[in-house]
Amino acid sequence: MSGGVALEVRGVGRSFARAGGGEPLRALDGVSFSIATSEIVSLVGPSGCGKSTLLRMVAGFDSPDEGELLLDGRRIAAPGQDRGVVFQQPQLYPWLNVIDNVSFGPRMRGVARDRISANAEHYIRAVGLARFERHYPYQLSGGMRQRLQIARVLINEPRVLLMDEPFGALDYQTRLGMQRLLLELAAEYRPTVLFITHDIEEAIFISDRVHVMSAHPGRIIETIDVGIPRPRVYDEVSASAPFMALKLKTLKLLAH
Amino acid sequence: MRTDSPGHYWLVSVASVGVALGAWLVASWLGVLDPNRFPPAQTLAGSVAELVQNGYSGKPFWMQIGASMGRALSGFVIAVLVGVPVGILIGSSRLFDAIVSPFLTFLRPIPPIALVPLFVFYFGIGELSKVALIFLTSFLYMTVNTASGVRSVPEDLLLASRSLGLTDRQIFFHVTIPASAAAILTGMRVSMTLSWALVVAAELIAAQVGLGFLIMDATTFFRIPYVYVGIITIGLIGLALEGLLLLVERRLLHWRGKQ
Repeated sequence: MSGGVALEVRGVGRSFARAGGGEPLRALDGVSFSIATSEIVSLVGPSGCGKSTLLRMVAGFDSPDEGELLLDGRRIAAPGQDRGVVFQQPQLYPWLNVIDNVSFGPRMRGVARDRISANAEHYIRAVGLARFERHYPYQLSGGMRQRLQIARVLINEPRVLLMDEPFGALDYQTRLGMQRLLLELAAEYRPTVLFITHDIEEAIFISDRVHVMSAHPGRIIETIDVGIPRPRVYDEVSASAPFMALKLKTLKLLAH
Repeated sequence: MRTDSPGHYWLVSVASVGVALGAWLVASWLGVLDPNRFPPAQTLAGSVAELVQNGYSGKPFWMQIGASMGRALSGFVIAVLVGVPVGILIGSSRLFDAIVSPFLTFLRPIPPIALVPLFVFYFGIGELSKVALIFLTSFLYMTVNTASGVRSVPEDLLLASRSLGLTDRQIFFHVTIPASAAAILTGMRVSMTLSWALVVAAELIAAQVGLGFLIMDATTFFRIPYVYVGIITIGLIGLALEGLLLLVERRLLHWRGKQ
C-alpha cells in the first residue's frame, strides 16, 4: 500500500427528484474530506443526511451532480475491487459455502488456484470462521454472515474498505464483538476504512476521525479527531473521560 | 412428538390415503360396487392385467403410456429450452418486457382446450398440434417464473458482485442464473404438471394412441374400468414426475428459502 491520501471527496453534491415532483431533494451539499492510508473515518448523522449516498458514490454505484471523488488521485467512475463494500444486509452467494464465497472474487478474476485457497483460508481464519469453511450462509448466524462478508472483501486487498452500517442489524452483544474484530483486523492489516453508522459510540470507538453530518441538505457540520490511543479495549475506552466528552460533544451537535 | 412437526402431518396424509383405500377395498370385498360406475378392486386389477397383456386398440399398454409421455415431455422440454432464455430477457430488459409481455399476459388465462380447434386448423391432426398445445401452455408459465426469478435477484447482490471485480458476463452466468435457479425450477415443476395434465386435452385431437385416447375411446365403448385405469395411471405418473423434480430441486437448491 502506498502512503498519503487514499480517498479524496471534493465538494460533492447530489440531488434526487422527489416522487411527487416539485423541488428536488438535496441529499448532499458541498461535502469535502479526505482519508489517509490506514485511517479509519466514520460518517455519523441522522437518516437522510446522505451518508449512505456518499458511500455508494465512493463504491461507484452512483455519481455526484457536483464535485468529484478521487481514489489515489484518479477519478472514481465505476465499481471495482479496489473498493471493498460491506453491506448492512450481507450480500452473500447462498449457493456457495464459506470458502467458495470468499474465493469467488479472485476466482472470477482468474487468480491462480493455489494462491486463492491459501488466501481464502488465511482470511477466513482472520475473521474467526475457521471451523465453518464448509458451511453455507443459511447455516450461519447474522454476525457470522457479516464476518464472511468482511473476509470476502479483505481477500481482494482493497485500497479502501467501505462499510455501510455493517453492524446496524446485529444485536448488542454481537455488535460489540464485531467492533472488536474490526479493531483487531485494523491493527493487523492497517486497512483504510470509510465507515457509515448512526451509532455515535461505535463511531468514536473504532475511528480516527468522525465527520458529523446534518440532514436536508446533507452536510458535514463538524469533524472530530478522536485521538484515543490504540489498541483500544471497549470496557476501558467506553468508561474513559475522553470518550465520554467526545460522545457528549457529538450528541450536542446532532441535537441541533 | 409435537403436533406441529412436519413428520406428524406426513403421517396424517398417509393415514388419510390408507383409510380411503381401505374403505374401497372393503366395499369391493362386500360386492356393493357397480363395476360400470365405480369399479371394485378385483375388476380394476383384472382390467390392468388385460391391458398389460393385450394392450388396447391393437397397441400395447406401454405404448399408450409412452405416446402420452413422449408428447408431454417434448412439449415440456422445448418450452423449457425456449421459455428460460425468453424469461431471462423479459426479466432483464424492461424494453423487451414491454414488447412481449402484453401478448403473454393475454394468452395465459385462455384455457388451452379452447385453442384445440385452432391448433388443428394450423398444425393438422398429427403430433405437431398436440406438442404445440403443450409447448404453448408450458412456455407461458416458464417465462413468467423465469422472469420473476431474474427480477428478484437483489440489486445489492449485483452491486456487490461488481465490486468484487466481476464483468457483466460473469455476473449474468455466475450470479443472475444461479440466483434465479429456484424460480426456474418452480416454473419447471408447474409446467411439468401442466404438460402432463394437458396430454388428455391434446389427445382429444384425433389421437390413435395415448392414455387420453384410451380414456376417450373406452368411454365411447362404455368400458368404464379401463377409463379408471387410464385416469389412475395418469395420476401416478404425474406424481412420479413431480416427485422427481422435487428431488432434483432439493439436491440442487438445498440453500433455497433458508436465507
